Amino acid sequence: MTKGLRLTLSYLFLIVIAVCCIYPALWVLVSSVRPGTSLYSATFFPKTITFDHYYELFHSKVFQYDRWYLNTLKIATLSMIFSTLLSTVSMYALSRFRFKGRQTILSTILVLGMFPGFMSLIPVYIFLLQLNLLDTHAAIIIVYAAGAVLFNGFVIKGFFDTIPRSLDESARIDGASHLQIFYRIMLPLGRPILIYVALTTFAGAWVDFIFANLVLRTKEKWTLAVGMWDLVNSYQNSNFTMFAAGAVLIAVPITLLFVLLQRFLVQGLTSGASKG
Amino acid sequence: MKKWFVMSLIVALFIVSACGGANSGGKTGNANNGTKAVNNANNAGAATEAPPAVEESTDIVPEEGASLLVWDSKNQRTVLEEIAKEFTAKYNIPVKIEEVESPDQVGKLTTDGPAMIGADVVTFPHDNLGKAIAAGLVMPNDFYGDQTIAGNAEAAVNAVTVDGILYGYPRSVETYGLFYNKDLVPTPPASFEEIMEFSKTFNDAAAKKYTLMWELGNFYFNYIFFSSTGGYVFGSNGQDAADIGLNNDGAIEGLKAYQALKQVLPINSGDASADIIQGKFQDKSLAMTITGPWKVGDFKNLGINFGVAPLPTINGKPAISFSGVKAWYVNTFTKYPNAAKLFASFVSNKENQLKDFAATGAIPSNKAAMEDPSFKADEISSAFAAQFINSQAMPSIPEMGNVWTPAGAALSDIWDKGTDPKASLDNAVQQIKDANSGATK
Amino acid sequence: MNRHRNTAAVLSVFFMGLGQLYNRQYWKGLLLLIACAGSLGYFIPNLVHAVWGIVTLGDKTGGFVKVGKMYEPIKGDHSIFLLIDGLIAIFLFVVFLIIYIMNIRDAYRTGKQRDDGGGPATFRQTLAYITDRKFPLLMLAVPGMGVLFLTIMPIIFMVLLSFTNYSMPQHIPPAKLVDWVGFQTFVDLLSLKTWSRTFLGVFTWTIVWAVVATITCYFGGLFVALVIEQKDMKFKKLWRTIFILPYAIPQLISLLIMRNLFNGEFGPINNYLASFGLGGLPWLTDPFWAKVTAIVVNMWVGIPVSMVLIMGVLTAIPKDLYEAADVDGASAFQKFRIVTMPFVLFTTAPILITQFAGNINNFNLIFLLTNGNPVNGDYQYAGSTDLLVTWLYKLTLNNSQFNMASAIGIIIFILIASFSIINYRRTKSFKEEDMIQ
Repeated sequence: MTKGLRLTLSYLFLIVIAVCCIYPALWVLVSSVRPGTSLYSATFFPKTITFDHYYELFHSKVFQYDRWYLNTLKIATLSMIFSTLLSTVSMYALSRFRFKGRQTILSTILVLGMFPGFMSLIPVYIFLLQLNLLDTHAAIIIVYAAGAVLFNGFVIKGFFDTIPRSLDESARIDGASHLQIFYRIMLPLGRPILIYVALTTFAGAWVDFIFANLVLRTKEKWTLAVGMWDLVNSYQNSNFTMFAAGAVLIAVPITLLFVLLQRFLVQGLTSGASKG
Repeated sequence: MKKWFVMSLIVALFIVSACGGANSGGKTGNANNGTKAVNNANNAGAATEAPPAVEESTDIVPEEGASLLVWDSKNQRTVLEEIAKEFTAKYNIPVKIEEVESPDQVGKLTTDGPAMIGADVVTFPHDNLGKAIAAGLVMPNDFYGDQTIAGNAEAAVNAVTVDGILYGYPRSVETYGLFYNKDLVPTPPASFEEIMEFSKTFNDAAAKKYTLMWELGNFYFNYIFFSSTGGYVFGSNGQDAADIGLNNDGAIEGLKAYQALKQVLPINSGDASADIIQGKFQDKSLAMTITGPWKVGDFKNLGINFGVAPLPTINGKPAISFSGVKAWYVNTFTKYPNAAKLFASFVSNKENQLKDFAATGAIPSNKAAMEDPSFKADEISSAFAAQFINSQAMPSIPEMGNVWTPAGAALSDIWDKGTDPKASLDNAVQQIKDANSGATK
Repeated sequence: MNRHRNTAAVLSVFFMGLGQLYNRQYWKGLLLLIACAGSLGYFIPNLVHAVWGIVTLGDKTGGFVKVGKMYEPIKGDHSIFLLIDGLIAIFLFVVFLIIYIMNIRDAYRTGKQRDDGGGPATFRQTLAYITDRKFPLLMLAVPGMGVLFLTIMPIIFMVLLSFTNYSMPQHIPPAKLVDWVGFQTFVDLLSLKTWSRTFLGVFTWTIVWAVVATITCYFGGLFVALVIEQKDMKFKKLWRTIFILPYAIPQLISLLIMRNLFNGEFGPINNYLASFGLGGLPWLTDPFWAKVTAIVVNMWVGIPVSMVLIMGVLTAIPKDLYEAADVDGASAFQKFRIVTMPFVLFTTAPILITQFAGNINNFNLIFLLTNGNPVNGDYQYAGSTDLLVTWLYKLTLNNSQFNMASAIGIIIFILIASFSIINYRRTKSFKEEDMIQ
């Protein structure tokens, strides 16, 4: 195989993959400006273009898109902060200290991370009910934060394990406390993984419709994912073009974040992989 | 040297036990409420209303400071808000509306009702009633019972009565009919044979133009192929779960007619989704569809020039469709049962049923409303009303929940794979029986 | 001299905090006293009721009594609330007991310190000790509580549920009580033909799915990464950015879109095939093709992750390995076989395992793409592409067969948990762990 042929084939292959990657995104974009309510259309590009669906998102009495957007932003930001904090601190403890029961805790985290989440819907519902937390944003933030510890634990621990222990030992000799070591050494050096965890939990709040649907009982409290799911799911009122418009406004910021921060994604995923 | 660690957990425990403490108070409070409610709170209401038979026309006395939460579907919201506003003006009881699609309400009430966060007044199709009663979620319609029975069509009242106890406050009845595009089909066909005939000139496989498309795998719409020729779901008017008539000779005959329709619509059942039907009906690549009154508003908004006719005959017999009765119900766990009953009665009276009809096309269950000129003048609704005469109410016993999936699966098999109707139906019936017996164990 | 240690310990057994007060640790003693009083205030009325609730699951059904013309609701016992409330109370009690025992040991040790002639630690010293020596446990306490009540409690609840008859339509509270039925649910699952047939069918497909989905994504990602990382390729960053798109677009959106793209009659994919003169395929409506579609779409979603991962690993391969191979005159393919492949496989093996486990539980993909369809006439409440998890979802949320769902949930859980534990124990990071110390 000559070099030219190999390169041509490679580029051809990459272009095909690129089309596959972009096409669905383009399809949503086009659907969001198509008149009518149905996603089905005879032609790819609509004959006329309309921005009514975007207008409707923010002006419909029934569909409180702007409110849900703010809710989601709030929940995503707060759960990002809490889960990053909780999971880094606890994984710092598990990565740096040796104490009785540590291996058990690690194995437990591993196993619990495999538990199909929605099996816990009923007990979590009643637990939150007992705490009078149902239908509050605090509850969903707690649920996300607790989940993040299990979900991201190993990635963080894997990364922390790679930070040389000599650094904290010398800081220790200088009289730094554990918390000081944590935020002076572990956090700055662990920045890539921190961003990775923050990004994934932030994005998670935008797409989870199962727990959010369980905890947030009234429409005013909903997040976007619940609202969007409801839009498609409610059988008699399917409105796919509006769904597409809403989807564009969710996907664009999240996708941009991922693309801009992809360097950290690579590091996050890799450290999760090599340190299992 | 664990001693200092004690402190850290103390803090945690402290928080938790503080919450627990507050909560245990709430719990005992609830329990007391529960028992007390039987003894005094409601009795007081009942005592003042003691001779209700005499004060037939007067209203129940709502609780002091009552406020209500009502669930209803999205497309009902505007009209319900209007009705609620009048109600608040008349009785000084604030009403809050939340959108919950009516078929989802029983599911949501199962968790939210006992948790005391459900709506006070709910609404759902009557086939969910058995499930709701099995879980003890709705109160009988007691105070307004006689009024409801006197005012509404008998079929509607029967559909919301279980074991001789009336539960619902009927609001509308619904069944489905044949929607046809007036530009493409000047006169609606009277039989499926005519539809087959029409398809020979209209169908165009290359352009994906079809004569008729409906949700092929949905047992609700396809019940006509069972019932018209003698099949049924449960015997004894839908009450006897042991007697399943979905695989009798009549049903098999009807399903053969269903299978034959694949010539008219050569696609897989999974491809005929509501969304695609609407899209094709809109761009005129579909001449007819079978759906219900809830689509009338959508189709009108899309500017489709359509009409509705009763369903075509099957093998010369009139098509017997499923009918549903939507009714309001009062949540067992409501804090304000009297106010809730008052609202349920108010929202389902003649005037408000007509308002609902004007806004959404819902067909009234109230006899006087059905006679109202504004209703009788409407061409579309009269067609549904005509089809309603040839309909059977969906069974409301809880075992009905075990029917949909197996029956839908049999339909898909018969349509997609062309399997023998008898074998598929026997299999479906066996599954329903297994599910029923597993459930009653 | 062990007067102090015994007195303090006995006092602490008697009531939490007393021993500390005796040891002249007034702040600590006072805090413990208050905590204990508060806890007892909660446990005394609740614990007995909790145990009663779990054992009996309630004994009074709710209903109505007719009073004149009106029906009065009677509040009955809600078995499921009783069960969960009971679990919560018992969990709290266990936490309380642990603290109580620690309190006794603390009193004993401080007493011992005094017996040996030392003074008791001051409150300030106590705090300093905790933040320094007991730092890890302190840090783990808060997330631990969250996990205890939001994950462990639910798992135990699920296990308990599978031994009850909690199912529609005969045993749904509050109208009806739920009862303990022992292993009946498991017996039914295996012996009732419709259930066992569905279970076997869905189980087999779940395993096939997990294996195929993991392998296709992994090697697909590897291939794409290798193509991009060729020395003379241009725009490496651009390619990577484009290929990361499917990973970045929220699945809720992309999968629902895919559902429409693959529609057999009207989806654009079949339309394109038709315009090339090819017949369309029943992508989502034929049992076999729906499975193929699920795997193809999963590749679309999963390859970017593997690609990013493997690209990271590729750049980490030490250059001298290739140089050594060059010296030995290895061809490009030999270099790949001898250097690249083993290195990549070695570093990413653990994530293959995680991905496999993740695919067994790949709820989103199946739920949003096919929702388990096409329906399968032979299955009980399941479709042809349903995985165990999505079947479980349908059983609980659509069909209220909670006991059966729990039994299946336990089986999935045991399967995945044992699988991942065995693998984890074999990984490098586990074995080397304690050498770092």
